[in-house]
Amino acid sequence: MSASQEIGIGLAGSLRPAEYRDIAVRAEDAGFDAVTVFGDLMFTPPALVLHTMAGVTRRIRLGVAAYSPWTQHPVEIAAQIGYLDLLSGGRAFYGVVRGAWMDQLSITQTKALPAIQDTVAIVTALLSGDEGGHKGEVFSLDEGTRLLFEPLRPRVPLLIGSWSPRLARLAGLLADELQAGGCANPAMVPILAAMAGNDARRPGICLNAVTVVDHDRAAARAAARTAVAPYFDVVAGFDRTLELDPELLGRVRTHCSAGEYVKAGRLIPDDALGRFAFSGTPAEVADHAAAVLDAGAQRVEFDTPFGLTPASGVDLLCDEVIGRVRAAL
Amino acid sequence: MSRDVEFGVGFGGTLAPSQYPALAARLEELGFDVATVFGDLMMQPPAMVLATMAEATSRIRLGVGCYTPWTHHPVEIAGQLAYLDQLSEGRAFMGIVRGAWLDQLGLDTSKSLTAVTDTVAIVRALLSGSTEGHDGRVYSLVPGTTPFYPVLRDRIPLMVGTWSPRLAEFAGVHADQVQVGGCANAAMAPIVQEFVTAGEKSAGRAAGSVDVVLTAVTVVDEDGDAARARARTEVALPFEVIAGLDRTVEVDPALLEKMAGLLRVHEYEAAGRLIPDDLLDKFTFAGTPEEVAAHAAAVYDAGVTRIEFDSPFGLTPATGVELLGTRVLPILRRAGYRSRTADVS
Repeated sequence: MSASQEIGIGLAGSLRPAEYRDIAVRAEDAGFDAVTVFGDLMFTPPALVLHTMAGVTRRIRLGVAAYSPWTQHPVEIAAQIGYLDLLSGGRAFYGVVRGAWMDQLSITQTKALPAIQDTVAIVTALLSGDEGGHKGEVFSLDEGTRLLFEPLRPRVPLLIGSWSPRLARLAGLLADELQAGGCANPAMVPILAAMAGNDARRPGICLNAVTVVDHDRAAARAAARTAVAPYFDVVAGFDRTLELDPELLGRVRTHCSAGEYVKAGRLIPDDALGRFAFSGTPAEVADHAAAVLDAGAQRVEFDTPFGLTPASGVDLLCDEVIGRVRAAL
Repeated sequence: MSRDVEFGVGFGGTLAPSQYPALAARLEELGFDVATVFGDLMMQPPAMVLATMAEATSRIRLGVGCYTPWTHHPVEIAGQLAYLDQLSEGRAFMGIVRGAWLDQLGLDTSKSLTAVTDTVAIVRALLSGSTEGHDGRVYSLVPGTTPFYPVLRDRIPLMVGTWSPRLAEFAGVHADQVQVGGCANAAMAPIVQEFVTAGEKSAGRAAGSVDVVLTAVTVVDEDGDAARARARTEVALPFEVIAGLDRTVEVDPALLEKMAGLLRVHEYEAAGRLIPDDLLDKFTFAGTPEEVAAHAAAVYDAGVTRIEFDSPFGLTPATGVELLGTRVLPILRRAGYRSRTADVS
């Protein structure tokens, strides 16, 4: 493991403030390098959750992972990240993704690539104090428009979340990290790096996936199956190293649309589960994460639900997994 | 004479985050009822500044004053408010305005009343746990879409910021407070009250259901002239936008044009110097503690429930907060204006 490689955790904003404080303190004390909060529809806005975490930590990096460009204007994103970076003494980073579930807001995402390009251009300009403005296809900013407060850093690290070649290429041009959400497959690391035109390890590749760690291996894997099921048919199609029977995917989808995630999860083949989740005993999860870093990933991230309960999962990740990942490399 | 009112302050989010906790704690100690943070374009995000304040306080109410519907989808607003309400243990409130300066983002804001209506409907649906959704002309929510985060209160108080008859009437129907942003003119209070009353009446609400709030740039200092000079600089940017909204005054369009030119190149002091003396008082609370207290009393007497003394408060934020709390509020209390919620004698 090189000095710059990182181990992180990621969660969705569905908890109360005190719970975020506990998780952040615990993760920092255990030596995690980064914590991210997802920006998925109908969860607490990530910058606020990270605001709470910033107040009780000193070292751990804090990432919004990620914003979609559809529910707030880039000027709001710039202001949130600028404030979080000030508050945390320069520990913020932010991600941009195409976004999912926007049909629930009757929003069409046909111009996703320009929306992301405009978002990055405007956030970058505002944080750096560049008053040149931006004339975009989706979002614009007049010349001379600037933040009315002084950001801490003129550039906050950027992550682009995507499995798609087009966005990966954009990440290669603009971003510090390319993140394939829902991927735990070491074999995807070089593929993503090639898609991004990864030069001198930039952008770094980050893999993050559902994590369920428990001493009861079978229970952990069963819970991981259920957690992965809702998006399995989507991510399974993205993983070029995997071939799955379309008929099987169809059955998974049918169960999911009926809300039968346990049944859907049971259909996921054993070898496929490991491509999309970190699950099993602490030793298995640690070895799996070490393999991802060994394949050249810049960061590996363990995502909710962490364990059979979030608290037991966080405990095991902190007490039995992270040390073993570091020792394995 | 004695009257129950509220003492408020409003922050433009431009300070270092480390300054907010001490200022907020002191405001609470001094007996202020409310702190709001503006959501003006290019300032810090109000919900985050209020989150910083929430952690340093336990009583003062914390309002986003205000969101515009054009840079946030209502689902973001609902998520921010629900979290701020959790963090502050039920002290959050939501303000919404049409928004200003949005031409700088090339946005078409012509359907602002519709956007505000959709925003209020969606935020309320999400916080109340309704699964009915909302089919709006600007913003929609598909039925069955509900939050994954915990919600403390199923209804968070609503403030509508406006000078316009239509939105003030909307406030009369839907809101708890109407805020006239940038106004320190007592003569505007009955005018806005009349718009609000029409809304209250059409909704079958009791007259006076909606509180009227006036909020304006405040600079208080023992040196009254220095305070007024600073107030001119501070008010220049909002003045250019709101001067035309005050129906009781006439402002020379050539003056506004000249100011706009200076503001575009960030010459705030020069722009502020152009504001005529008699107009300054309509848009700011500025002067010695005695002068500001007398001005505030006149505004309360016109029927206003809350004044928000807006930043920068004084020649520095800290001295301004001290003078407001230790000089201005005591004068008002002695004159019979009592805080509705703050237990400070």
